[in-house]
Amino acid sequence: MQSLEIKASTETPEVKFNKDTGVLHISGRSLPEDAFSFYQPIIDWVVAFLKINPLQKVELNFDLDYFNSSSGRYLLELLSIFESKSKPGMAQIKWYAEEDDELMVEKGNELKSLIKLPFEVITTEG
Amino acid sequence: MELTPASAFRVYLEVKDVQLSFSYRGPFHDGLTDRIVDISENTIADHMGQRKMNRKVSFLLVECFQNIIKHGEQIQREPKDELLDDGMFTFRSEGDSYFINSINVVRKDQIDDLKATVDLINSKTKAELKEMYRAQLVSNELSEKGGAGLGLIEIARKSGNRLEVEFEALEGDYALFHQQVFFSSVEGKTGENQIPRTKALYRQLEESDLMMTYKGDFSQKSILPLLNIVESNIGQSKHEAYLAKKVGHVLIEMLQNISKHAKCTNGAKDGIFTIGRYKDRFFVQTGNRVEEKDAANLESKLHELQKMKYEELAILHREKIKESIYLEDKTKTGLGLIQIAKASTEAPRFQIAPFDGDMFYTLSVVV
Repeated sequence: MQSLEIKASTETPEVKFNKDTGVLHISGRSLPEDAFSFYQPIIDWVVAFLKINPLQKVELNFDLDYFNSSSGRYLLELLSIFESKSKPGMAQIKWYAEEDDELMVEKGNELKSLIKLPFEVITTEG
Repeated sequence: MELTPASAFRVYLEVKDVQLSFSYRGPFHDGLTDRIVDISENTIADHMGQRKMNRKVSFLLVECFQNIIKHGEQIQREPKDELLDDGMFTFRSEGDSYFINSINVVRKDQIDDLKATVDLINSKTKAELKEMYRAQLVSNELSEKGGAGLGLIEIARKSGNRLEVEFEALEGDYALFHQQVFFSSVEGKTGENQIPRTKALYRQLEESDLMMTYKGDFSQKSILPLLNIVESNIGQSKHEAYLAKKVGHVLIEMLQNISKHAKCTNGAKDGIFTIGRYKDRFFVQTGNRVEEKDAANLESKLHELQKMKYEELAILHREKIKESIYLEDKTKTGLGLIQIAKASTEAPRFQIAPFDGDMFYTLSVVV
């Protein structure tokens, strides 16, 4: 299994998941109309990774400018997979948003309320 | 024009028979040139398979738009307004014909020279224009701004048609310069003078403080340049940057709603989109045809959302996004409409009315 790397496009975020360090980064904006085609391969990769993962810790970092409703659905699915398939205490989520960016802070808090995993909403200076 | 869903419908009626109609009422800056070309290329080239002609249209769009940037005057006002928008850029495609109409401010003392240049260009044959262009290039008459007249000569050469112009006096030292460039794939075809129609549209946009209108295809490729134009216009000051983000967020949901759910006519997801200023906020309107069988369900959903408070919408969104993971049809989650209602500072307004054998659905929100 190789690490996952997807470059950003005008409508999709950059995705980096290092299988050796267990650190995931999703950053940029996510606006694909067909979110399934973009996110399903990522979800498949994560499911395969969690089956064989020898690591004790996995860190998921989200630093998104914004995302459309279809992407939101897949982000939740992605987090749900970690919730249901990772060992207890293994996954940790960090959601980054600029402090004045109410929209992304709110979206982070909404996902946090839906997922039973350690989830930090971290505000940064713009 | 009042800010009701009916107003988007009226804009649509005016342009319903054209494939593409785009109007932009400033501010004009160079960063937008590429986006405007994107809109034209995505809409025209892919659907009509006219790549060669499309290159010519792109060239004309760039020249006309940059002419406004280079030569348009800005009326000095106090207090200084960041978003001076004296002027408008518009283009339409109707079958084999393309109209590029622009309006920009000039000083009254420039009118005679400009008139003489246009008259001279219009009097020349194709070969004479080529010679005139070469002569201009080597002469010393280039202005600091890159050669007054050179752009116009190029526009006339590439369009193969005469330039239509008109001047309209404003108060004080300024006047509006109206220009139409017509281009057709059918050689020798001439276009109707749409300057009066463009003037009327400009007044309408000014009265309603509309910044931009777009009628055309709403596939994803057409949506992104529209989003980029709005983002680069609104978020210029830090104060507006996050508001711009909210507007962008609502915009993408509204435009993708058209893309996903609009009834396809003539192979395209056809609709209308307008954005304007409303007090210290922005209003966004969209309109598109929907299937009659879907109209009742949409109407009842929207009525429900209209009645809900922000907190109720937040709870509903949480419930729906959770459910959406298990839905078989992942394209019909209903999340987009809830997000639009949540982001709107006033209850979203809508209208669903019979139109031309279909139903026409308009949605209007303030962000």
